[in-house]
Amino acid sequence: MSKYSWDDSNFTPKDLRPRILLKTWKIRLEYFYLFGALGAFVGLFVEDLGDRTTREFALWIIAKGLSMAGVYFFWRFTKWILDLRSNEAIALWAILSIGAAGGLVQTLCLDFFISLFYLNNNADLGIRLISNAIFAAIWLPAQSVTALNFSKFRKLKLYLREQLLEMEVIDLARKRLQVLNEEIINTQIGELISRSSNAVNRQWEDAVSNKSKEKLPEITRALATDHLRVLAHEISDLKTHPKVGKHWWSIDERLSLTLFDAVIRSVRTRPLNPEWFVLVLIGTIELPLLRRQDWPVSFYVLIMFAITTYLIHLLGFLLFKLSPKEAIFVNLAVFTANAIVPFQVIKLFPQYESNPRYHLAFAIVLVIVTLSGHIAQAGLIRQKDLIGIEKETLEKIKSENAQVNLELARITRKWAQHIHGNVQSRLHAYSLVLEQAQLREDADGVERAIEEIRRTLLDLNAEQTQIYSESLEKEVTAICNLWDGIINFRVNIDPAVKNLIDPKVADITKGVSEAITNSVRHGSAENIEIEVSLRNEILILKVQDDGLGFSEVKPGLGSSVFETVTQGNWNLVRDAFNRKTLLTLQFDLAVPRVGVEPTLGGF
Amino acid sequence: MKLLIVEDDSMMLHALASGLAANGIDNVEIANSASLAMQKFRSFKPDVSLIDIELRQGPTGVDVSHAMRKLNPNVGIVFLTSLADPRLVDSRLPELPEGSIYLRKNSVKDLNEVIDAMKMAISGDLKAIKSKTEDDFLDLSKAQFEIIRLIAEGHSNLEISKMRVTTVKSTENAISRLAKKLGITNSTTASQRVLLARKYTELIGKV
Repeated sequence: MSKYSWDDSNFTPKDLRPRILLKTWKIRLEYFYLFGALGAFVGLFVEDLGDRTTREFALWIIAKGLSMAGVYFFWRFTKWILDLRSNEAIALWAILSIGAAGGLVQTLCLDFFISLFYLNNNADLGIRLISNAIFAAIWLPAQSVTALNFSKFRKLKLYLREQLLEMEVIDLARKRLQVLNEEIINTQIGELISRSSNAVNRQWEDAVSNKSKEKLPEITRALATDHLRVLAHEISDLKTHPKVGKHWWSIDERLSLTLFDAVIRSVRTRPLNPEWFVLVLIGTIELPLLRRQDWPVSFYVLIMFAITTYLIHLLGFLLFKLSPKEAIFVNLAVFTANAIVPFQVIKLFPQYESNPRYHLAFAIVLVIVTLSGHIAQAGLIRQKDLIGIEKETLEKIKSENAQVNLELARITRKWAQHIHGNVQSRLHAYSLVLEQAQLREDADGVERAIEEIRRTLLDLNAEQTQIYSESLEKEVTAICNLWDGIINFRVNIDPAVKNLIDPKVADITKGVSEAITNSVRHGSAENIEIEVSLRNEILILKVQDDGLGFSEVKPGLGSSVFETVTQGNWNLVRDAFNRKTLLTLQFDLAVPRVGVEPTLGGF
Repeated sequence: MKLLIVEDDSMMLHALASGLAANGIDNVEIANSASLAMQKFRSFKPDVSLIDIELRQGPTGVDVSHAMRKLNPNVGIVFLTSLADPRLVDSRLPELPEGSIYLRKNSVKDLNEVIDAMKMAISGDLKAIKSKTEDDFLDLSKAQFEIIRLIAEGHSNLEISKMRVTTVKSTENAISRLAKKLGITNSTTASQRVLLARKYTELIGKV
């Protein structure tokens, strides 16, 4: 499952994770005030302090500090609430209120001090308050729109990237398993077996033609124990093919996929964010400006700011197209707006406001400081995401590699067991047959045994015998034979299904096997009755024993086997009084068997 | 001493029988499957059975030993196995029969040890048996035995969860607890799964 979900047609603020939103906003607010203050200080130091007294300057700093602290604590408080509720709608609301409150707190603090100490200031308190409120009302939604867009981009990118990597990894895992099966098994194991097969065959033929026949049983045993044992060991010692162990691709390469870029570009909308650009522009045209007399200066500031903002946008757009670094530039555009606030501040001191040189210096310093901070910040956020995804992907690849290794281990074990077990015991058995035939001086028997041995040796890489490939009756009998002597059986199979050969036979035998195991181990039964009947295409398997049935009805491996093989159609009845337990399993033969595809574990 | 050896590996079976014969124990019957073992047990009536726990498909040596005890409560039982713990084969295995001796193949130095164990098992001296048997089994829960075996068989977490009728999350947690218990820590070079599978093969004595 993807950690990020995406539905382009239905994107609402509710869809935003508060974590992402908060992360963006938290840094933004803090940087905003940090750089704002820094810019203001630099601006103030750049210009001559002139007739401003130290006391006045200190008061200004206190006012600014108080407003920042107010915003910060309000924000903290909201975050605390948000964390409790974890509700996206509240998050959006809260962010807006924080911003608005920030603007208001700042205005109130400043105006309070100004009205207290600078009553001769030409600004009217009421108008200043209203102008700041209007600015906040315009500017904050603009910020929010951008934040939404920004989050939307990030979310989409993360989602796509993850999906793409997921598909890549799974696809690759399949490919590797295929290679493993085809190349490794057919080449490595195959080569080993045929090499060994040739060697033993040669030895066998030599033995048959040169040596006395009395020694043949011994030679057979020697071949079986020496050569085949070595072969089995060699097979089980097979290490993963170097090709499989390696990562065939580097993640970095995949992260910059052309396809990925194309997708991102096709869904990318309004990189210039014109609507909020306009809003910000309007936001700068505020009442005090219109009210004032120094129009040329104000216009100069406004136009300079607009041009700077637009140029940064343009630059962002150009770079945007060139490389997938959208985050940085979408973010960047937002932060240029932050420069407005220090301009607001300087306007509180009309005697400086009229000097365009200070505005210019102020603006340049602000833009440089703010932008460098935000570019670094946006870059960091992006990098963090990528590192996270890369890490997850690496984990997946690791676990998938582990699966491949396990698969190889399983296959080699199977082959080694086949060689070491089946082939070897067959040879041992034939060597005994040969010995017996020789003792009986049965020439035909000897020839037959030699032929069988020859065939077995030639047939080393024949397919392994399937455990469940026989008819139902044979299968059930085979299982009962395994337990014969430990428990007594009475088997009754309906003639209609005796010779049933169906993929479901494997399920039925699994059920029988599990039922017997349970009867013996948990019910301490001594007698067991197995009855198989057919009714309307439904095969009914009844297993009755004289034990106690399951000691527990807790779900576990046993009951889950019944659950799986019957698709839930099973039940167990215990009759404690008569000391009898009846297990009934039903198999619907009309429904095809549900194959459990081997999964690529760890996903 | 009448001895019945139950072992599915024919090489091991012959090696044991001939080794014991060379050491004077020559009243021996052998069986390479559970059903044959029970048949021989009934006809031969041994004093002691030397049993391997893993008998390929179907019943295990533990099942066989319980069936034997049902027929003859006094028969001595000695398990000779490569398993560090019988529950590694199947977590649902019943307890070993009382007074049985558990020997690990890789810690037996010579056949005399096996012979001593068999004599002790016949004597029925529970105290002595206790000292001889290597039952310092693993301190794992039933679920943990099940999980480590399923991991080694190559099942995914999802499959394991399905088989155990539980959630993937709790399987993941169980796996990390299991790894911690077995002293397997997360490493940057090896996957925890592979380490667990390797640990399993180590515990069942295949490495």
